[in-house]
Amino acid sequence: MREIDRDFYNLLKLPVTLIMNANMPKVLPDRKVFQVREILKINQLDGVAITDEDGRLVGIVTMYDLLKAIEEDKRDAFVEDIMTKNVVTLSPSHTLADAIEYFRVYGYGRFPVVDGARVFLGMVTPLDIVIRLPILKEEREEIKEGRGEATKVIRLEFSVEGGDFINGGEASSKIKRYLQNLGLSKDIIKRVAVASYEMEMNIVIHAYRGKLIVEISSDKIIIKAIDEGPGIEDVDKAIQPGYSTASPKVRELGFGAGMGLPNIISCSDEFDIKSNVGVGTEVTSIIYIK
Amino acid sequence: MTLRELLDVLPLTNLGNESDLEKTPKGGYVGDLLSNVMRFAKEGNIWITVQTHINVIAVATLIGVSCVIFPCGVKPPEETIAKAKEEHIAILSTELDAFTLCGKIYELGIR
Repeated sequence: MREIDRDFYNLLKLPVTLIMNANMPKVLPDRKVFQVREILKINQLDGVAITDEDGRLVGIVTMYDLLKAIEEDKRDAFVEDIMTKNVVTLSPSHTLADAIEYFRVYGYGRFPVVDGARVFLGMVTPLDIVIRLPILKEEREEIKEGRGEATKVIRLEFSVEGGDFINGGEASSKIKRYLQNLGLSKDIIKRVAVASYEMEMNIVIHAYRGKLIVEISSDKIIIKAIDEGPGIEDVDKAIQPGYSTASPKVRELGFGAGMGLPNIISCSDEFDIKSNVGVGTEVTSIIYIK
Repeated sequence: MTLRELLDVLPLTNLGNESDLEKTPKGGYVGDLLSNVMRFAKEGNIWITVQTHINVIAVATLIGVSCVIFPCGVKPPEETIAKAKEEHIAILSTELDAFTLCGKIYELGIR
C-alpha cells in the first residue's frame, strides 16, 4: 500500500468523537422557534441538537425546519413541536468510516453523537469531516513526534456496565487500537492496555456501572475509571497484592486474584484511588509518554 | 516456525481461522489468572490456559499474543471461538497437559 493510502486508511479508523463539533450551543425543548433561529444564525449553524436539562438528546432541528415553521406562522411555537424526534445517532465507539457510511446510507445532513445515556456529545456534518480531517492528520503526527502543544488533549470515553463479562475488555481493546493508530511505542501501549483493562474489569467485577476515560496529550496519557458502586472499605488493603473481595464465582473465571490494582500501579507513573463507600470509586493512572 | 508448522508436528486442533496460522510465535506463557497473564505475557507469545470464557480473547487481543492453546482436552464455548475468529486470534486445543505441551513447544525452539 502506498504511504498516503495507509495514512488515509488509518485516519478512517479514528473515533468519530475527534471529528465531531463538540462546541455546539445547547437548546432546550421549550425554546421558541424564532429564538432557535437566532441561535443558529448567530452561531452560523444549519442545525442544532435539542437537549433536556441533563444534556440528553431529545431531537434535532435544522434551519430548514425553522424557516418552514416561520412561514407557517409558527414562530412562537416551541421548538419541541417542530423538531425531528426519531434521530439516527452515532456513538463514541463509531469510527470516521462508520460516519461516512451513515451519510451514504441515510442521506441525512448531520448525525448527533451521544453516549450510552443519550447525553449529547457533539454533531457531525460532512463539512466537519472535510474541515477536520487535515487538522486531525497534523495532530496525529504531532503526537507521534511529540511536538504537540501541552494543552492539546484527545479524550476518549466509554461506558462500562457492571457484570458484563461478555463485553468486558472491549473499551480497552478500542483504546489499544486507537493508540496503535497514533503510532505510540509498544511499551506505552502495553502499559496503557494493562492499566485500562484492569480498570475496566474492576468496574465489571465490582461496580454497577462506570466510565472509562482516556486523555491523551503530547507528554502523557491519563486513564480514569469512575464508577457507581459499593466503594472500597479499606483502600490501603485493596491495593495490596493478593487482597480481593471478588466472589468465588468470579474467581473461577480467573478474575479477582487481587492483582488488578497492583498491576495498574506497576504500569503507572502516577496513581491515585479515591473511594466513597456506598457511592463509588475513582481510579486514576498517569503514564508519561517520554 | 509458524503456527501452521507447529500444528504439523504437535497433536493440536485448530478451532479458529485457517488464515490466522501464518503467524510466527515468540515465546510463551502459561496462566489462568487473567491479571497475572496481563502483566507477564508478551506480544507474540503462545498463551496456554484452561480459562475458556470470552474475556480470554479480550486479554489475548490486548497483549497481542500469537495464539491461545487450551490444554488437557479443554474445549472453549462457541462464543469464545467466534470472538477469536473475529479478532483474528489463532485458537487451538490439545489433549496434552500444559506441562507436556510447554516442553514440546520449548524443544521446538520457541522460547
